[in-house]
Amino acid sequence: MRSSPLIKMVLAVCVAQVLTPLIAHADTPDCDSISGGAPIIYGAGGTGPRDVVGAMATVLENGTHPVFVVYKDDGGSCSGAYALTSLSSASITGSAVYWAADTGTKTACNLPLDGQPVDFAFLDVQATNCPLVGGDESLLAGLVHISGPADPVAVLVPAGSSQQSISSEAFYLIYGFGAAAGIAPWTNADASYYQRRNDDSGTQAMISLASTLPTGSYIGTDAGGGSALVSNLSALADPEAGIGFATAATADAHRDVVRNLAWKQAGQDVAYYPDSSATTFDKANVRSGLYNVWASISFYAYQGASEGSYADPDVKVLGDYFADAAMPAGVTKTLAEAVIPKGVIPMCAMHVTRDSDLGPLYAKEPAASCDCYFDYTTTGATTCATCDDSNPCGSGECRLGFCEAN
Amino acid sequence: MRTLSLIFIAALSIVGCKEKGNDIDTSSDADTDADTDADSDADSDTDTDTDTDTDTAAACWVDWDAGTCWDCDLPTSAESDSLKCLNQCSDAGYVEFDNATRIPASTWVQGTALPPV
Repeated sequence: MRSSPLIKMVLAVCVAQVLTPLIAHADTPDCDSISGGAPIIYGAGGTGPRDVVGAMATVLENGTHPVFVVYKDDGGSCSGAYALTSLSSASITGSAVYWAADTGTKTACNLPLDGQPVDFAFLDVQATNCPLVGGDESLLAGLVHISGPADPVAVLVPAGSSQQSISSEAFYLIYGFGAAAGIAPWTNADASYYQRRNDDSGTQAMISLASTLPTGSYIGTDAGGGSALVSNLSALADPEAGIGFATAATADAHRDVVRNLAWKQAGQDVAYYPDSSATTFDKANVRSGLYNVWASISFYAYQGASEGSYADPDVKVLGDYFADAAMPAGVTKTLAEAVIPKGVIPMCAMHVTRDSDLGPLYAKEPAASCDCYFDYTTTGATTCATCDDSNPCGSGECRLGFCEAN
Repeated sequence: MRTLSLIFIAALSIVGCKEKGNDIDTSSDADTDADTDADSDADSDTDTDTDTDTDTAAACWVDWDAGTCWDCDLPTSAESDSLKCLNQCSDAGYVEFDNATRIPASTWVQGTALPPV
């Protein structure tokens, strides 16, 4: 009996469907084999904080007591919070990433088929803003929470667009009603011209707080991640009609294909870029309080026997470093040095703060400033004097090679 | 085209909320005081300021090109809103976005509640 060509083709497709994942699995290392026997901690959360996690992971891996970090970011910020609070499975499966200790290169690895328990989570916003948590603080009892560097979100347009600014009200209307809002040039009826994230995205939660548009009420296309959103936006046939949003760090890495819009918050007279201009990276208007769409990256982990303690001492190493409270053994690279190149703003470079995500801003000077270092790292220039052990400051404090005011 | 380009560049390079009022706010200089002196001779006028207003907040909001900006110290604890920080007087560059001209009145009118989605 001979099989028909159609049956052969169907069989070939079925075999390929079964084998392809196995082949990919074979080419990718198992996550539990990456550390050479050193402890590994597993996290889940957003794509926005991912590069910051990677920068810290590389530091921890090079300490005298190395700790390796595996991170899964394809479920959105809230996925990490849900895993730690039993609002979803406490384990992750499938593919995750780790960072090579020598190069810092992000690399895929395979999680165990029966799942790997989550040890920590990183979110663009506080977990109270996740839909399933719904503001219920009691669900977060038993977790350590640390607020870290400021992470702005920006509205993006393709580089070919002529648009420069948007108001929070216009954002609400465009993403709430689409073309029906009639706000030119964002009037294309095709959903792909309104790139967005999803309900569990910290990025979407943050800009929802700024615009008052509920996270579940967005029209448009879910890109699934910040980098994919940038890619989708840059591929639109009519760049003038396209719009999206991502963390400024994500957008900054792709300024060749997308641009940040200046943001005008309700009650604000004019719009400001996150940076001092559309072409700089200094985050000057976030740091001074003129740009509103930012929140501190949030870290969560299981608490130990007493409040503020950690259940896992290896997770404590990461938490203490993220809190800028303690350096891992054998490490000299500060948190500021690790995360500033990743497009976020450590609190030592901020001049305003807020007590809750998108809550009221107020002035607060850092106790130990890194303003000069931040400016130099992000712009290549600073007006501050340089210093070292043999060249002390005439005034102020010598920190990271510059004379800081305090 | 050249004219359009120049307008565009000018809009981007406008220097931000440069305050137009006094640098130092006082309780007496922002209000109009009634003259209590009946004498019309300016040389012998010994009238004194009778203003007892101690509310300085109004005088901290000073006019500038695009509205008003906050010209006093920023709050150092969380207040009810962020407008003093968001509208602080500074030299930062800014971009205009006029809701009234960009958003059709049939969609929304500034000063009213946003329509529910």
